[in-house]
Amino acid sequence: MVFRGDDPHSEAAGPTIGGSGALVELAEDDALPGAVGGLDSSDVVVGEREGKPLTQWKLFWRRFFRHKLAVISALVLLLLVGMALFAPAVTRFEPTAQDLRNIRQQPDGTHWFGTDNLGRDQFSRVIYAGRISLKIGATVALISTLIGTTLGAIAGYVGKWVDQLLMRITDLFLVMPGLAILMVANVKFRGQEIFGFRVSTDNLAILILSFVFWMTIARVVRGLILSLKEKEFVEAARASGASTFRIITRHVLPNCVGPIAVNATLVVGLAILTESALSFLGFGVQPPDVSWGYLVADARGTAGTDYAYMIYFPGLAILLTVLSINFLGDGLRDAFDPQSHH
Amino acid sequence: MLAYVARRILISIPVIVIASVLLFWFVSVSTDPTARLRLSRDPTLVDRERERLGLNDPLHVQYGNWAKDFVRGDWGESYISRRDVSTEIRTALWNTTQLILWAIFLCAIVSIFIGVYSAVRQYSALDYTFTTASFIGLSMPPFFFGLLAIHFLTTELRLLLGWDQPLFYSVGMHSATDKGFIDFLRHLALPVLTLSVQLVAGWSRYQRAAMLDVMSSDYIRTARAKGLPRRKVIFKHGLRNALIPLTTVMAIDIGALFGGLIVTETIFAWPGMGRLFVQALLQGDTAIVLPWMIVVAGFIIVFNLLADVLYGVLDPRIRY
Repeated sequence: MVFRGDDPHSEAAGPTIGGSGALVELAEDDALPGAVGGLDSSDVVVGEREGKPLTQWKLFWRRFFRHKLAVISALVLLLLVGMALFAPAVTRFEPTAQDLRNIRQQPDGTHWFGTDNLGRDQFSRVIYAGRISLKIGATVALISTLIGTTLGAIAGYVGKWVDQLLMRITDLFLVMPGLAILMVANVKFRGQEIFGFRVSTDNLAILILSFVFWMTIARVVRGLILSLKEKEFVEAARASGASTFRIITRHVLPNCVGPIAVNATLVVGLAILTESALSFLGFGVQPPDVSWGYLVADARGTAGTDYAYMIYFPGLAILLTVLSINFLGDGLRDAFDPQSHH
Repeated sequence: MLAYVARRILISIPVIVIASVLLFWFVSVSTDPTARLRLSRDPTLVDRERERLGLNDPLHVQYGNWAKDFVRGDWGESYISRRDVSTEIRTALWNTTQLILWAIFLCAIVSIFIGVYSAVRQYSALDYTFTTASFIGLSMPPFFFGLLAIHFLTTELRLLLGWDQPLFYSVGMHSATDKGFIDFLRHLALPVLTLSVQLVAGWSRYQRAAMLDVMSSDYIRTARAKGLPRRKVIFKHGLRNALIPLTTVMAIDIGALFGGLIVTETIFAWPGMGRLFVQALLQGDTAIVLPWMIVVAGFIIVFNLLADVLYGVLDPRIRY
């Protein structure tokens, strides 16, 4: 699942690599059920009721709240994150507490998601696994965005051979077999010290996953900056003696917030999906760290038996999270760029 | 046109070479072909093996030797099966290719149908259904869908039908006793279905966007204005042009599939590239790892090239 970013702003440098995750295509022209009719001419109207103009952010929120599915998704995500953060308060059982008299209980009032083959409460396991899955998704997106934005900004602003070099490196990363490399890296670094630190398996997953999702953001930011740097306000800043660093960080990058935020959101979903696939294959997090992908892998033997509920709940947790993130990304895109849809 | 194709092929060669250097370096530092010998009682065995494999040479010498052998077709020998790596990969590649061929055939038809319908009946109830379904498809972890398919379409369906054997098998390519075509299809169905979820979700969105774009263009309005039947406008004037972007996306996606089915093939024990790689890693058969990665990267590069060229061939407005 490679990330493809054909952002309308990015350069049309031929097709980019994409596995099956054609997430960004959704962006181009789609309206979602919740978004229907939301973006009409009233969008550009400046708050006439009060007679005073709305700020950019107020307009942003107004457009965002019209995208019903995105708003619902944001609430779902808040709920999931909240449950993960306050896991001890939400769950009635320890995730690791075994109860051998109550193994393989079907879901009921006591054990909402049932119990596993050691009598551990599945609900508690799923909530605690969510801590790791969500942490990995969010951190990987953050690091990838930082790497991608930095490289993209340098390539776009400096131009010339620096641009050529950075973009060829980006292309190279895009033709690499990503998942396979992550698996080899996991085997290599598992249980080893990196720079003198003992790295737990979830942090290892964060480290190696951060290397494969920065390329799209780098391309998008580069494309944006290529067009922005010719604008008058940048010229004015340069004329008044601002340094390159200051121009990039204070004048150019703030204008790229929208596309960067949208892509970062989508990377959260991709990172969670990829991490869960790695953990499912046995090349991701290892006990005592447990993620949703690991829980599904742990329960895979129950497919075709009466205990298949063991698969449903962690699997649905991944599906629900990634789905919400994708809807949220769609809503953000609409809110940042009202022209993108119509 | 020909000059453009030639130029694109020439640009691809250094990309393949540099990719192979990086992959060689990565695999060299990440894997240890002698790891499986560490438990041997013979203390000199590891050293002798390292010498035999040339692991004590400087890395660039190792790369040179390896590249020479690789180009000649000598890809080494699997540590586990003792068969040629090239044979192993060729077999696995063919099995994966069968999966991919059936899937793209199916997915292309379904995606085009959904895409055209959604564009022509934009904002209809079915359009919303397809849109939501595609979001779900893109958010679906393949292993989750695969396990659900095994649960419901193998076991539950068998119980429902009251048969001794399931209608769809979930392990391997053939039954031990039956090697017929029908038996093959019964093995093929679930992996293809699992693979199709994401492909259809992505491609149908793409086709919808392309179709919407085309249908709002001037020549479609002209075609309508001169009184052509609706069917002819949609399929002859609209669809034919709206297929161009999808073709290139399909080429790119297909290139990524050859090494991208690791999860799907693992779940259904399909003896293809993905399963070969997982087995090799789990068994410490590092001889497979590098050639596998080179082949997979090669497919990605070649299919990207194909996408670029196709775009030019199909759309004569593109000038080079």
